[in-house]
Amino acid sequence: MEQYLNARLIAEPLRLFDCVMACSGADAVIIGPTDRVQKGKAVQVLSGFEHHNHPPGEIIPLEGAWKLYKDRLWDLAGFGPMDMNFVNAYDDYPIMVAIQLEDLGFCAKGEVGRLLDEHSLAYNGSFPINTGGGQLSVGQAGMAGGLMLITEAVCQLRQEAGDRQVKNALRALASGYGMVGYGHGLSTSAAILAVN
Amino acid sequence: MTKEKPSNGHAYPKPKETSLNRTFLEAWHKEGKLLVQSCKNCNHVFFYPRPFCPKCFSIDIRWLPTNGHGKVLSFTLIHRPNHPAFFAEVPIVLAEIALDEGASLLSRVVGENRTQIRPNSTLTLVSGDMKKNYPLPTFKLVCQSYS
Ligand SMILES: [Zn+2]
Repeated sequence: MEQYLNARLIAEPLRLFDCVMACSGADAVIIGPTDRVQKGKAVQVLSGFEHHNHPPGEIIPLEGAWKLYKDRLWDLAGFGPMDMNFVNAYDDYPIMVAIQLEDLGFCAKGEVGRLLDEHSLAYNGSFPINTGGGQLSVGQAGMAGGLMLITEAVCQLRQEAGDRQVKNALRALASGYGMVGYGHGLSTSAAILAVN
Repeated sequence: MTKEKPSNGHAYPKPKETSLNRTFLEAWHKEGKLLVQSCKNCNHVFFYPRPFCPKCFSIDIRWLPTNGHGKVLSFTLIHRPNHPAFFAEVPIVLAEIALDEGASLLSRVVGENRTQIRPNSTLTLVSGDMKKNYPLPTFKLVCQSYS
C-alpha cells in the first residue's frame, strides 16, 4: 500500500499504479447452446445492455449511460446488485470502477466511498471486484481489454479460477466502458452472467 | 510556419491539419485568435471543429471568433508528459475551459503561476509574442489583483 500511495505522480491525482499499462493480448469466449455443456459449466447471459454517447456534450462527465438502463438490466435478470457474488468492472483508472458501481446501482450517486470502505474487495472478501486483478494489474490489450472482464467472470462461474476462486460464485456483473474522446465516453455496456 | 522550440530543444508535436480544422489552426497561427463554430439553425456554439452541428445536425454553420476568455471547469497537473518536448516544463497544466461564448475546450495553461489554477479560475489567451510559442490556443491565469 505504501508503494502505491508513494508512487510518482503522472497526472494529478493519478499516480503510477492508477494508470493502466498498454500490453498485447487477446481473449475469446465460445457462444453456444447450454445443453451441449456439462452441468455446472454453462454460463448464461441473463441480461445485457449497451448505450452510446451519454451524457451528450458533457466535457467533464462523472457519470455514464449505465444509469439509463440499470433498472431494466436488473429487472430482466431477476436479480439485484446485492445478489451478485462478484463484479468485474472496466478499470483503465480506478475512478471508472467507482463511477460504474454508482451508476449500476450498487450505491447511491456520490456514496461509492462508503461502499468501498465497508467491504473488502479481494476475491475472498465481502464484495469481490475484478477478481483477476483487472486491467490495472495485467494491462490493457488494446480493444481486447474489455472482454477480459467477461472471460474472468466465465472462468469464476465455471469454478475454474484456481487460487483466486470466489466461493459459491453463481452470479456476476461485468461492465465495460470505452471510446473516450474529448471528454465523451462513447460506449458503456453491462451484462449479468449466471452459471446454468 | 515557424518551428516552435521549447527550452530543451525538442519541438512541440504539431497538430495534424485537415480540411476541417485548417481555418481554426490558421486563425491561431496567423492572428492569435481562437475560433469556435456556431450553428445558424439552432445557435449552438461548439468546439472542436466539425462539419455539422452536433445538436441539430445542420450543415449551416459558421466560424465564430471568441474573446479569448473563459473559466476553468476542471484541470490536471501532468508530471509525466508523453512527449519529450514537455519534459522541461512540468508540471504541464491542462484545463477544461468553459469559454464566454458557451463552448468548452481542453487546453493548456502556462505561466509562472499556473499551479495556482482552481475550478472557476478566470483564464485568457496568452498574449503578443507568447502566441507564437504554442501550436494550439494556449491560456494563462488572469491575475485576480489586476482584474
Ligand atoms: Zn444546430
